[in-house]
Amino acid sequence: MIKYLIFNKSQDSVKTNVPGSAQAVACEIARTVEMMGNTANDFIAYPADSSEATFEVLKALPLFAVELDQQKIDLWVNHGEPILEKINSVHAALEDAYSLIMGAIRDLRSECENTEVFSGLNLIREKEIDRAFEYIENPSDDVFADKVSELFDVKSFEVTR
Amino acid sequence: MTTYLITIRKNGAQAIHKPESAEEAACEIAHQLLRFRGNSEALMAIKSDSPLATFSLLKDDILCSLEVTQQSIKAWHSDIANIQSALNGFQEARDQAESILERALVDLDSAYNNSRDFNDYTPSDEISVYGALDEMGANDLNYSFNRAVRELYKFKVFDRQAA
Repeated sequence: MIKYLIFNKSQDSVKTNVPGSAQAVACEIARTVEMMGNTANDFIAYPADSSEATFEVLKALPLFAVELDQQKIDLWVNHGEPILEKINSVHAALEDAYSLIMGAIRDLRSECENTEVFSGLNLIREKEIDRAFEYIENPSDDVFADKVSELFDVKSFEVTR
Repeated sequence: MTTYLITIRKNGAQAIHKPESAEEAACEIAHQLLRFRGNSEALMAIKSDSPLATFSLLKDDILCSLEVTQQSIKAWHSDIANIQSALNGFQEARDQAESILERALVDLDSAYNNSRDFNDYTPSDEISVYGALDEMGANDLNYSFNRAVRELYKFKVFDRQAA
């Protein structure tokens, strides 16, 4: 089992994790647990006992630590990633659904506003729609992030990004 | 402002209302608000201050009453149909949104269930697309609009006594 430290990658950094490598998997796991909308490329991972990690720690504290072996990497690739992909599909579906509904509401509002007698009629509030969509989105993300954190024993460090 | 009482037209008793008259509009409005099963030509509008209105009231023949003005008749012919069409458009958008989301959630459920280590969670057990969309009050839209239309025409249903 190798422990990886995951750092925030500076914007001018040209370093990247090799796709499919343990470091890339560590960064995927980190961004899943972080849930801030960052991509895996916003992070860089180094083995904890490497000179790169030591050098990086001198500049900034790591955000996460993850221990990985081949079994854990396979677990992520074969089980974690497919679920993450479907969660992303749910997000895309939510955007499409939101756009459909908001378009229909704009049309409805416009029809009401174009009349003399119903111009003040507000049949539906956007806030209520936003709340409904948040309700659909949040639980699955939180549960997945918690489970990934537990399965991969992710250590999170208190760092303000 | 004219108040009309609406009754069921007796078979062959009277000529139908003139096209585009206030009486015809009153019958169409009553037809929709009453959800009357026949067509609107089966209804007859009687001015509330006419002798026939008094006679019909005494006979307990009145289904409902409503008030119309030139402006509210104009609203009936143009605005209400357009808003109703937009409401139908919203319903279609909602059905489509539900279908897109439901499909994505079924796929997500399947991804969880197919995984040895993640299969203790089924997202759709906790997330109901239909429940969430109900939250936004979409089901009440038609009801709210119907209520606004009833208020506009001061629509009142008469409780008829059983014969």
